[in-house]
Formats: sequence, structure tokens, C-alpha cells
Amino acid sequence: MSWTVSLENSELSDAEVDAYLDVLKGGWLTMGPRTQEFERMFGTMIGVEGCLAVSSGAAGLQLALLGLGIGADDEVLLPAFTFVAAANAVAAVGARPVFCDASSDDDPRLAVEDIARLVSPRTKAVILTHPFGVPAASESVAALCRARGIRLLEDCTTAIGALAPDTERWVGAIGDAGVFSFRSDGPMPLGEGGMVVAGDDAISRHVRLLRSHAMTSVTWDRHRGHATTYDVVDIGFNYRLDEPRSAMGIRMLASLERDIEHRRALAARYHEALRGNAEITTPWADDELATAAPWGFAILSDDREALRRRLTERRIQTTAHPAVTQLSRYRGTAECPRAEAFAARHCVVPLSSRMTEDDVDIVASAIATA
Amino acid sequence: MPDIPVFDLRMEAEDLEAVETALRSGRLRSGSGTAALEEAFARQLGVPHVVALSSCTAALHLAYLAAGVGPGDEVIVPSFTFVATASAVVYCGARPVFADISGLEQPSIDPADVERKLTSRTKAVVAVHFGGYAAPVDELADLCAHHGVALIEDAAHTPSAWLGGRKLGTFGLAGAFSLFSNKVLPVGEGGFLATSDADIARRCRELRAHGATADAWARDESGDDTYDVLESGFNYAFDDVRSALCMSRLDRLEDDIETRRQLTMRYRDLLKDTTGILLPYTDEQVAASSGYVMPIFLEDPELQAAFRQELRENDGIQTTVLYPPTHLFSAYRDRFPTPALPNTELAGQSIVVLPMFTHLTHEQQDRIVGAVHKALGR
Repeated sequence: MSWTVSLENSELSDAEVDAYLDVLKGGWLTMGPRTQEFERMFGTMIGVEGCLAVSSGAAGLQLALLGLGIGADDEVLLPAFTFVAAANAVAAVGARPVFCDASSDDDPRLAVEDIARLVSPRTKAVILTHPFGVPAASESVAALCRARGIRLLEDCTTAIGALAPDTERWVGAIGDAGVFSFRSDGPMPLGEGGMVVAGDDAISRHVRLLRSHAMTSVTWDRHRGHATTYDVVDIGFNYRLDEPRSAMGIRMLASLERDIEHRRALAARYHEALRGNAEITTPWADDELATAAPWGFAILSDDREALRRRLTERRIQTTAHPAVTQLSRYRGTAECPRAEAFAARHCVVPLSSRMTEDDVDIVASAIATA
Repeated sequence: MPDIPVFDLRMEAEDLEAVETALRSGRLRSGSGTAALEEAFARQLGVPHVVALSSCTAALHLAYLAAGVGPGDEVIVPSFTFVATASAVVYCGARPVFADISGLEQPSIDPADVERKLTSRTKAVVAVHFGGYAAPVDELADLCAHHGVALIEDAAHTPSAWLGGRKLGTFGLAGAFSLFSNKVLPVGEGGFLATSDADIARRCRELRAHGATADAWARDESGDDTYDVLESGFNYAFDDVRSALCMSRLDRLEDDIETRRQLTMRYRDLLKDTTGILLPYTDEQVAASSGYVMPIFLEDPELQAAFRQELRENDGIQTTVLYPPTHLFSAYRDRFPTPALPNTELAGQSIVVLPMFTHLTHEQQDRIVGAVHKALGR
């Protein structure tokens, strides 16, 4: 289907295209100087030294959990309204996901009081998701985790550059580790890709090792004569990002601040246009959008299906996500009525880098004409 | 940097054009480009289903899951292989059981040792087509069928190689292929799973996309994006940009392999009378191989480190060791204690892999062969 306004709009600049092609011309495609540079630049922007580029956000979540020492028989608390990859990552390391409810029917972010309610002696970590680029309460959850001696992993897979409440710091820099995604519907569309961020050297070293088969040297070291052979010291993975995507990521970081400002302006325009609409509510307060790095725009309707049909008829692409507790694999493991109520009522409308304010007006007027 | 690297990769103008078109399409993630690539690779292999993935490791993982491998199970694997063959077994919660190779002349998994290591817990046997040469998958397929276990092919080195008129990677339940940058079909990162079983292909498509019951591409096309998750999946997705690159290189794959075979035959001819080394495989096997690498075995394994050092430092020639045996790595030694595998251990100690890439010149080859003779004191 060809959309008038689509969710994914990853038109690349000439500089981004050239960055990718230049690496191909050079012929060194994996784990080399561009990936190191991409990690360094990301580290500068987030203010954390230990950044590791990985193949996807999902891979990053799994590596971060392993880096935090989460394994068999451990429990990990996470919001019921999040992308299923977070729950799958917990399962992949052999741990049990324990779902916390949403804050309210209108706010999908993890209900902080559920942490105290659900924590057990087996709880080793909390995954805090920043949905749709809107920051959750990183600092207060971090304090709670510290007090209980459990780890905090920030799932920033839809929040590159959002600021943690009452700080000037990116979400992902507050917890013990943060994970980002370079999915193609976000502000840094690399096709597939991710980044793991961890200030603690021991955690980032472990993630680095596991990213490439726990080998004590990589192909690049051997190519340069820095190593001739290797040992394998753990059960690792191939979760590497390749050099062309890293090179493109470097270019995207250079324009990220501008892009986030643009996204904030689009979100504010949606917010303003929909204000006073009796049928539609938006989950966020104005000041939350000012520190967000919006990634899609969620709206709520009691007749969500009719709304989505109407938008589809006008060739405006929308999406909606189930709560993880509504999926067969995880159903029945927790009671999360607020998350499921949010899931049933929300609809994500387009908000992406190349959209214009006119596009927002087209979508907003289609929403308004019931 | 070495004067002559062990592998080298060159992109052609048509590769760059294909990638540029994909990058400018405004759609990077897996979609119609990936679907077209899967069909093209399936056609060239002669199998009904190919699933493009983020790596060959991912393909092995999904192949083992397809074989029903889970906690408490055993999977018989060679140790003379890249570590991923075994680590993907551990991802499934199962135990890798290492079998020896047949010998230095035929350094692939020994069916007789496989038979000795079969137990009631064995779920699958993995054959690695080492260096681009066929493991005895015809014999292994019969053995596996007889014992009711799955045969999986680690075809990382053989995107297009043969055994008895049939493409490698199509003998077992599933074949796993690599698109890593130093491979025969190099894309950077990526892999394929090939299978003739439609249910396995469908399940692998779900598992590569988090376990979601309809993949994102299909949802996007239909406008219907409701999905369920029946089992925990992963993000093993490929993307349309790498698909475009792979599609372009796939057009030249047979020519590239023919070049590799000719270079291999030239190496073999230049080295055939050299004392102190052993050349694995036969000339007939070269003709059916992918020519991935040029392995030689030193008759005196004590010389391996010094030999490689001399080539590197005196002649600027990079070599590599494929492979240090997996069962001897720290991560496996204690966790999965394995009785001695004499052929594998000897192979790991005595192998040296010489440079091989499609634009290797005859002058470079002569220099490499000269350096080999010099290092052996001939």
C-alpha cells in the first residue's frame, strides 16, 4: 500500500549514503575503525564511555542482561506495555520476566509502585522502558533499585536522545545499562542496529566480549598483526554491527540534535491540534514532550478500530501494539489491566524525521473528522 | 597491515550501484529486496525455502531449534570448526558433543566417530563443509535417518559447492550459510537458512522477527498489523540494503568460485612436490568445492607458530589458523569435558591457511609459495 503519510520515512541524506558507500569501496566491512568511532561519538553524546554497537536493540537487551549478570532462575521486572523483545531477551538468558502494570489506563509507563509489590529475593533487575521516546522516571526507579540492590536496565529502543526527568542527561545514562535501537522507523535508521551503553567498565567489557563470540581477539586485530590467534572464554554470539552501518550512524549522530528538535516540534503540533478533541486524548503532558525524543505519536480513543480504519482510508499509516501480557507466549503470567486497557485504546500515528508540519496537519485533520 | 592479507574484498561498480539504489529507496529494513534475494538463493541452491538472517550463527541457532534441540539434548558437532557451530547448541540449552575429523586428508567430521557418540539424548548431527569441501553428508544423512536424528549442515563456507551433483546445504533438515565479509559470498554480516520444509521456514521467519506470527513486511503490505507471539524469538533480521549487495554479488558467485578453484589448483600444482607439508583433499574435490580457503598442514606441528611468524614478518604474508579446536577453548574445556580428539588436535596444531581471494595474482601466489618453501628450509 502506498501511504500519504507513513510511519517509516527513512530518506537518507547524500552524506549518509556516501558514508555507507565509501566503506564498501574500502573493502573492510566488519568491526573496524568506523564502529569504534561510532561508539566514541555516541559515548560523547550520552556522556558514558562504555558504548558497544550491536546488531539490534533486541540483541543489545540480551547482551546487557548478560553483562549485568542475569541468568537462569533470576527474575526481571519489566513493564507489561513494551515491545516483546524485552521479554524475549529475559527469556533468552534463562530468566523469568515479571510484568509490572502501566501507571494508568492513559499512561503505559511502568507503575513505579509495582516494583515494591513484585520484587522478590530472586529479582535481579528492572527493565525500564521509555515508550514512544517519552522518558519514564529513570532517577526515581534508579534510587529504588539501588536501595534494593538490584540492577536497572533502561530500554531506550524507542528513545534516542530523550532527557531523563529533571536532568540534562539522556535516558540510558541513568541506569546500570541502557540499550538503543537503530531500527528504520526511528531517528537513526540504519536498517537494523543497536547500541549498549554501560558506565561500569566490567559490564561493558563483558558485553564487548559476548558481542563477538567471546573471542579474545577479533578479525581486525589479526588483520593488523596485533594478534595471531585467540581463545574463546565464554559462550558468545554474533551480535556485531558492520562498518557501513556504523559509518552511516556517525553521520546521523552529527544531525541528531536538530532531528530531535524537529520531532519535538511535530509532537507539539499534534498535541496542540488535538487539544479539546472530545474523542481523542494524548497520554503525555506538554512539559514531557519538551524533553522527549518523540518516536511515533500515540493517541487514545475508545473506538480505536474505527479511528484506525478512518486513517487507513485516508492512506495514513498507523500501528498499535499489544501489551506483552496479551501475547500467547506470556499470557496468564501477570494481571496488568491498565497496560491492557492502554494497549486496546492506543493508536500510533506517524511522527518521523522527514515529516513536515503540513503532514501533521493532514493527519490531525483526518483524526478530527469523525 | 600485511602486503598480502589472508583475505581481501573488492566491491565492483555494480555492487555500489545496487546498494545506492537501496539506500535511496527510503526503505532500509527487510522487505521486497530481501524476499527477492531469498528466492534467488533458493533457486541457485535448488531448495524450496531460504530465510535471510543476520548471521550464519543465527542460522545455526534456528536450524537447531527446527530440529527440536532443547535443554538436556545432545548435538554431535565437529570441534575442527568455528566456535559458533557449538555455541549455537548451547543457546538452545543443549550440550555439544564433539566428534573427531577423519584425518588430515579429509578434515571433516568422521561418520564412524559420530556413530560412536550417538546416545539416546542425541537430537542432531552437524556436518561442517570445512574450507569449502564436502563433508560426507550422503553417508551422514543415511546414518542420521537410521538413528532418527536430524542432520544439520554448517555450510558457512559453501554457498555453491557440490557432492554427487547435489548442492551442499541441501542434504539435511536445514543448511546454514554465511555472508561474513571474508566468505565466498561476502556482504559484511549476514546468513541464510535453507530448508525444504515449509513449516520450518515459516517458524524461522517468525523466530527471526521476535516470534511475531506475521512478519513486519507482510503486515505492512496488507495494512493489518495484528500479531501474536507463540514462542520467544530474536531479532535475526537482515535488511534490504545488504540484500541488494548480496543480490549483486550473487550474479558473480559462480565466476568467483571458478576463479577460486583455478587459484586453488595453481597452488596445489606449485606445492605438490613440497616436502614437509600435506595438502588436504583431492584435485577432483577442488572441482566441486567453493574454493573458500587454501589450507595446508605442516608435517611438523611444532613449526606452526614459527612458520606463520616468518611468513608474516619476512614476507608480509598474513596466514590464519582455521581452526583452533573448539573443545580446547577455555569456555568449553571445563563446561563440556571431551576425551582427546587426536585428528582434530593435530589438525589445529599443524594447519596454516594461505591467502585466497578472487583478485589474488599469480605473482602474489608465486611469492607466497616461495615464502612457504623458504620457511620450510627448502
